[in-house]
Amino acid sequence: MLNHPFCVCPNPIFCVPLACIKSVILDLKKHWWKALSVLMITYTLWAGLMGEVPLREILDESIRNLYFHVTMWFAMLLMFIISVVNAVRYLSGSKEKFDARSNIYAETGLVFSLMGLVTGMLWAKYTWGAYFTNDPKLNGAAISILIYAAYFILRGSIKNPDQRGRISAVYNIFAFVLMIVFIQILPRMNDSLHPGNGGNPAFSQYDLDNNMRPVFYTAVVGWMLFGVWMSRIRYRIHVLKMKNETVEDITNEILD
Amino acid sequence: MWKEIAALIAKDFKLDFRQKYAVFATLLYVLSTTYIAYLIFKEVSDRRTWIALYWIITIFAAINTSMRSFGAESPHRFWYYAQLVRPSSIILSKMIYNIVQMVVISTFTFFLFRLLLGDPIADDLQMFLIVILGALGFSTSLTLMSALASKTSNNTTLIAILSIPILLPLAITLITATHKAALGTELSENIGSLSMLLLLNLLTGALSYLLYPYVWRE
Repeated sequence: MLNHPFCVCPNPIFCVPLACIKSVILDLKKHWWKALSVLMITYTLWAGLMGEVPLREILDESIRNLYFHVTMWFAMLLMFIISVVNAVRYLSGSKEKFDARSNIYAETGLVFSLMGLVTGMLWAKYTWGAYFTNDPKLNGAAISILIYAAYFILRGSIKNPDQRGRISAVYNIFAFVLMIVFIQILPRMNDSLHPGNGGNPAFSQYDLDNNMRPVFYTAVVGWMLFGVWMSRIRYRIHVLKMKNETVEDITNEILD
Repeated sequence: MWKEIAALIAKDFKLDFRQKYAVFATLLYVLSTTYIAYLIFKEVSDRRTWIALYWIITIFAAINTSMRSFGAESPHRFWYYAQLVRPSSIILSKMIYNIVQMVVISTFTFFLFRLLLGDPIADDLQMFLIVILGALGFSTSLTLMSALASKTSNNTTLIAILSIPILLPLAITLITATHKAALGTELSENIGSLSMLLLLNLLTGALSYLLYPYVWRE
């Protein structure tokens, strides 16, 4: 009778709208955060481009990049953390789903890091005068992209799924720790042009005289939720693919 | 456990002593690459170039050497080891053996560079300390990478791809430390980079030691 989620009624006269509403509410209880992420991102797109920002020397309007560039790195870091947590769980239990999740979250993280690099490069062109400078922060961005690109190549070159899971989980953990060292500890030891490093003012100082902070945190949470949502969709696609493939694989194995 | 490690290291030494080409191949690799640098530059007066060349050549030599630590032995032999020793003694023995190799190779490269490309390093003792710390760092991280790469089908390309991003934090710290040593800074002023190197080495060593048992399982 009730055909959730579209609430299709066979006969409009006997349709029960109350049950329909109930199912929608149940749906919302489970999926509200997805809608929230879209709302948050839409809000920050609007507030980020239209809102009031303090106009500082050199930075000028480019300070708005805080909403779009820094949020990418926050989302990327969350994706990589989820990926490495799943890698640890795979090593302790050898369950295939953790390996798949680790891989998928790393992929989403790589997308975020590429977007973070592009937005950062555009900003650097207008404030520092060059797309790419030899800066600890930029090196950190480059190393995380290199590490995860290597991770995917490593995955691609091992056939046995069990071994692929273990080897790539080990690399994931090892590389993640060194990436954290590289992007969190080393920049503090060297000078950097990046805001917040080497005596350059960080954005937190500009937040005092305006309301950039709420927009920024909304953007961070919005993009993080969005990243998790996209990864979960990709994980579900992966599960469905595996279901389809297993029958084919078994027949192929027998034929071989 | 130390007995196992000693036996494994002795075995590695014996193997390499019998097939002498393996060690000499790396030394020859260093010699020929340094000679190319010599032919191009004749004399390197610029400190920055000297340091860059030195660490590039050492890193690639280190990658080449460490490739052998797991790649040269057949996977069937590891099944045999699995029945005899613990995985942690395998990784420790390979790491210690690699440290010895790396120290030999990087000091060899250092003297070769001094001979051919000039000597811009002011504080030799400090430089030697950095070279040893670098060798430690290379062996602790590259040994595990070699173990990972040996499980794949195309391990020669893969080990370079896997290890270069891993070595970047180490390389940057090494280069800053070398710059200071080259300028003749006091040891007390350079202690920050040196302790950073030591911490990195401890970190990679501990990670390799903890993670290797998972690579080992078939």
